[in-house]
Amino acid sequence: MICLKNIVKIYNRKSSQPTRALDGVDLVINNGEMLAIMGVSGSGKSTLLNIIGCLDKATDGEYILDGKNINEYKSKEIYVLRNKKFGFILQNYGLVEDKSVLTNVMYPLAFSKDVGYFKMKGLAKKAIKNAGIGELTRKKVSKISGGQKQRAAIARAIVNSPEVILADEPTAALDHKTADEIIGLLKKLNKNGTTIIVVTHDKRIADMCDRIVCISDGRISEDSK
Amino acid sequence: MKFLWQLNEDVKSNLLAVILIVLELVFAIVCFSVCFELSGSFVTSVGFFAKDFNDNSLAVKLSEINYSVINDITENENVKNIYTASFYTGSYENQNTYIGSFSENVFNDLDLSYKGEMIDTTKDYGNAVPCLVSNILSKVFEIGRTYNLDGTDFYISGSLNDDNIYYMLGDLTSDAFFMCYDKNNILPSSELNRSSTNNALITAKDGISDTILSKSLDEISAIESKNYFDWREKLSDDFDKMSGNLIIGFLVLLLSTVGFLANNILSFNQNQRSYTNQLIVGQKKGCITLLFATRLVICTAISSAVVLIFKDKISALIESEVMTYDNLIYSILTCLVLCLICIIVIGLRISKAEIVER
Ligand SMILES: Nc1ncnc2c1ncn2[C@@H]1O[C@H](COP(=O)(O)OP(=O)(O)OP(=O)(O)O)[C@@H](O)[C@H]1O
Ligand SMILES: [Mg+2]
Repeated sequence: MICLKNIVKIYNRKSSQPTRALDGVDLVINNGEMLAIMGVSGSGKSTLLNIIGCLDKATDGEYILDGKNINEYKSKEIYVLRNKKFGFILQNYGLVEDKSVLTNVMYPLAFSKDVGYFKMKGLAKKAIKNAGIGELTRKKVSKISGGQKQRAAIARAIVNSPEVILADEPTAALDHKTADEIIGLLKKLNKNGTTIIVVTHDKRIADMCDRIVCISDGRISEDSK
Repeated sequence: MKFLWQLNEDVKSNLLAVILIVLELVFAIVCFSVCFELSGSFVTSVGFFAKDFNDNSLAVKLSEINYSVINDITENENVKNIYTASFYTGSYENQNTYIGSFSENVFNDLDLSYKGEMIDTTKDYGNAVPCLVSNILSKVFEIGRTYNLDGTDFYISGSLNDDNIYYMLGDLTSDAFFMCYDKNNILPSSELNRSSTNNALITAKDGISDTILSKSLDEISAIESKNYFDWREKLSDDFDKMSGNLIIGFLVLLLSTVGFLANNILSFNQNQRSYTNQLIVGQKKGCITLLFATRLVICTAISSAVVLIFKDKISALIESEVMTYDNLIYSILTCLVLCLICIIVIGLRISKAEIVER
């Protein structure tokens, strides 16, 4: 369970023009939910996702993950959270550009202790196939299109069977048909118990989720089921 | 296994940097070793000579960097005085008589007692070589006359009074000798050994019996046969050698060090994006540092192997005979220290890296 209390995030705190990206967010996300986060550009959606996924720390407020304050997690545990608990589909994909799709998808497995070396490749190939880009397995990430990168990022996010998938505009670069496929994929994962948090501009996509949270100016303005 | 997989991926991404670093390290190891040798031999010499040698000392070379003091000769109870080798220019043997050619300062400066006349180094003796004979020979050769030995005329200018004056040639000593001043190069140069400077003139104390003295001389000549020389000359030679090459050496070295550090930091900058994207999916910062360190150590190992295997070829290439294994080991250790600095710098940067920049 993810529990955010009065989360504040200020960028460039020491500069003359600090940015208050989040301004007191209270949000509880239960296990197994499929949640859409909406909001205009710059409203703080990615920032919120980064904090939930332990890629960044809140300036103020409490983040309780599975009953434990995030500050009490040791850095070793944070590594494991990023590796096993969360699967990331970032807005800028976050892939290693000069590596093949396969290598990128193998990374989360290589960094975890749970999967043996000889199983890594098989699992990665399966995830790539599930993301629908089986034919691009050996291609370098820098040589594939934006939509294909998005799918590669999805393959990487699901390969380690995370409990929570954080997807930042996962369908932005895709046409309707493929966008629906991707959301279908996420929905399938959600049926199997994975918590899904999707940031989207697209009302159509948001409507496919169980719950929609709207953010404006770093605050939650609407929370509807 | 997974670590090796990661290492392999890491090396593949940085192949060019790896090749450059290997080359840089080969270069650095060679430079370091040359500099070590040059400064090492000078520092050893200075340290050694400063401690044990005084102005009258000669050095005996025991090994490449090991010298022994020879001022014992003057302390030898039977020896009155020893004149160092620098005035000596050459000698040969003729019917058990040693014919030595000396430089002019011997006749001008040495305080030897004699009969007849001291050789006048400014005077022209014509076709004869002026010489002083040792005391023993004064019974055979008369002062003021000219003798022909194997075609060379010797003018006997005087004889040395001291029974106990010996001049040493290699490991032989003799009290039967001609001390010549060969200004016009009349002495047969084919016979003359002018290359050696390792001889000394010794005067023994009065009243020392021949047997005792010959024993002392044996000892001295034993030391002498070990190649003794004026240590100040050696020191200034070493210094010249060092100062000439060392400046170039250290310049090159500085360049390669800066290049090495720059290369590593640049290659890290290139990788930073990739590292961040790995951190997102659970890579550990420590593991990134470890991969980097392993990569550097492997580069060092490859470079060391290259230098050690091709040691002789590299020596020939840079026309240096100074690449000893000892120095190479020190150089490799120095390179490892350089690597360690890089690892610390990069490690600190990695530990400070944020996934989301602020
Ligand atoms: N790393 C950063 N450093 C400084 N300011 C940042 C940083 N990231 C985001 N911001 C600022 O924080 C605010 C929220 O940014 P955020 O990326 O969370 O918005 P968003 O809702 O994801 O927008 P978009 O829909 O365009 O992706 C913006 O004003 C942005 O300029
Ligand atoms: Mg965003």
